[in-house]
Amino acid sequence: MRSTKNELEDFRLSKIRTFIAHLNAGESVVPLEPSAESDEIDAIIHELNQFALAIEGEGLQVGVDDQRLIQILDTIINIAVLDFDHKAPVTGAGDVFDAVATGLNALGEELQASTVSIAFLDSIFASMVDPLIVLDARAKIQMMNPAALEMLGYHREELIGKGLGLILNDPEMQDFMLEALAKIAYVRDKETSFRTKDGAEIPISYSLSVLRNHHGSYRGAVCVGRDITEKKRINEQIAYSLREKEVLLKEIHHRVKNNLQIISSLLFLQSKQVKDPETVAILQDSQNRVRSMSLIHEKLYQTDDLGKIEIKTYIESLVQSLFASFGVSTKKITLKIQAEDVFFSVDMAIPLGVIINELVSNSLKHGFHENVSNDAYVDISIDQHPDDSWMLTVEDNGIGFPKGFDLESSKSLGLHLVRNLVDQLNGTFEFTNSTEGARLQIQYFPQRETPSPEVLDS
Amino acid sequence: MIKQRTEQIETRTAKFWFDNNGILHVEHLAAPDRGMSDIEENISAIIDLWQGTPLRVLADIRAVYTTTREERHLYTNNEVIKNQIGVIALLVSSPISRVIGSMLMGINMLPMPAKLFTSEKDALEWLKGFRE
Repeated sequence: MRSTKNELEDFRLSKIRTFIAHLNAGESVVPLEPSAESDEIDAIIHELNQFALAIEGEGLQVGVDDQRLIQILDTIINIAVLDFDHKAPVTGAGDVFDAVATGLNALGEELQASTVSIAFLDSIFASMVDPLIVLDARAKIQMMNPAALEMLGYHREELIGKGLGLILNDPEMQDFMLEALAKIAYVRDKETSFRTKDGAEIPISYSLSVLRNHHGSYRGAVCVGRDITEKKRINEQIAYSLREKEVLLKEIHHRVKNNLQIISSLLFLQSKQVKDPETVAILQDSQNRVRSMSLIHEKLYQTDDLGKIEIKTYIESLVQSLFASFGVSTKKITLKIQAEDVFFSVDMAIPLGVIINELVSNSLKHGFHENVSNDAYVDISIDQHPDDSWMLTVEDNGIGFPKGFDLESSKSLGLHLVRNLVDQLNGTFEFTNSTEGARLQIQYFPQRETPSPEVLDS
Repeated sequence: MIKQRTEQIETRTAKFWFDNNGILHVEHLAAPDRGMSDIEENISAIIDLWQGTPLRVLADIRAVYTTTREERHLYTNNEVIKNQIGVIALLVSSPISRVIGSMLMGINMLPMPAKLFTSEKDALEWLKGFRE
């Protein structure tokens, strides 16, 4: 089938048919007005006008050679419906009829050559599985391919000439789409929904591009859509599954935190059962260590990202808890925490938390006299260095470790833990000790997770 | 000063010669069985006659009564024609040659200045208006 122009419902064809009918009836005709399209149909209009002038100019009367006139008119009608196989006979008389026949045959040949590509494109549109809709300059539907009609459940004649809003679930989207088109000449991979004839909503992803005529003027738009119902369903399924897993993971972290808290409570209760101060201290240390880990899980299930810890808030909670545990007020010993808004994985956060727990506990237990000075402090900072390594510094301005103290060979369980955990982090440490305080700096290369802006904004 | 050219070529379907004004006359002969090979032969003749400057051509197509799309396109899209003919006057008389001339100028868009004439005198005067 080759009637591409018919499908475009070009009103000019009906004018041509009327013109030919008048000519055929021997009636006078008003020359046809060509459109601004300058296309093949305009070429026929031009040829017809020339033909009518030739009849008038040469003084021919319809009926003088009725048979030849009918043959020529047949050719014109066939060209008008884009049937180019029909040729007007050229008798060799060299008269006006031969001239018109020659001209029409040549026109038919030219149109056939240029229409092949239209027929080819038409077949491509028809074979497309995605809906394609052509809009005219007033956003009225000018053409739809079979895929669009099948998706929407309409017959062609029910939609041709209607506004795009008819098939959009939200008719106001029509203005939005066309405004966007006017600004940037094309819209790509946007989502909206079609509404079918029976009222069903079909989510689609669409692209919209400007259609121009031969002169480059705005002629309308071409919309290509894709049914994304299945994609949406799968996405929703994935999102649901993800939500389920998040809930499950939060529950696990919650239970781990509860269990660790139970252990911490048991250690607390046991510490109350014993009289030996050294044993009490050991139990209290263990309790704090367990609490440092429990706090990690508490932070994890309280945040959106279940795999990462925002390190600054974790350190703040941990150290404030230690101050409370040792009954030290931050008014007595100032607590300073400096850390960037960065997220660390659980694997990284737990050893860091235990290290900080040990060092701060040590500072609060042994670092200060009973009557501390007004400017006593404990500083904790985490900074990133240009070589991407991180530096954890825990520092106080207390009395320092005993003279000759060697961190490497210390038998203290807490400091032994610190050394092991620094190794676990593939880090190195530098210990500074004086009568004006102690400082431990640990350098390590963590697998840092920088939060996305959305996380920070939220 | 206009250089006198005396070359004259005759093919099966056309005669080629220069007049005293340096205008190339191409007279198409009545040849109902003219085919693509004839067109190619005629184009070769123009190549032979070309002397490096755009030609002013008077093409007499009064005897041409038929033309196919391939022939029209060969004449109007050929690189030799595009590059070597600077201006062309088409001499027509019968309704058919007038239509064919119009087609050459209209549908296929000759790439150089072109005009239809029914008078050879007028055509030559128009061509003289273009510098050699």
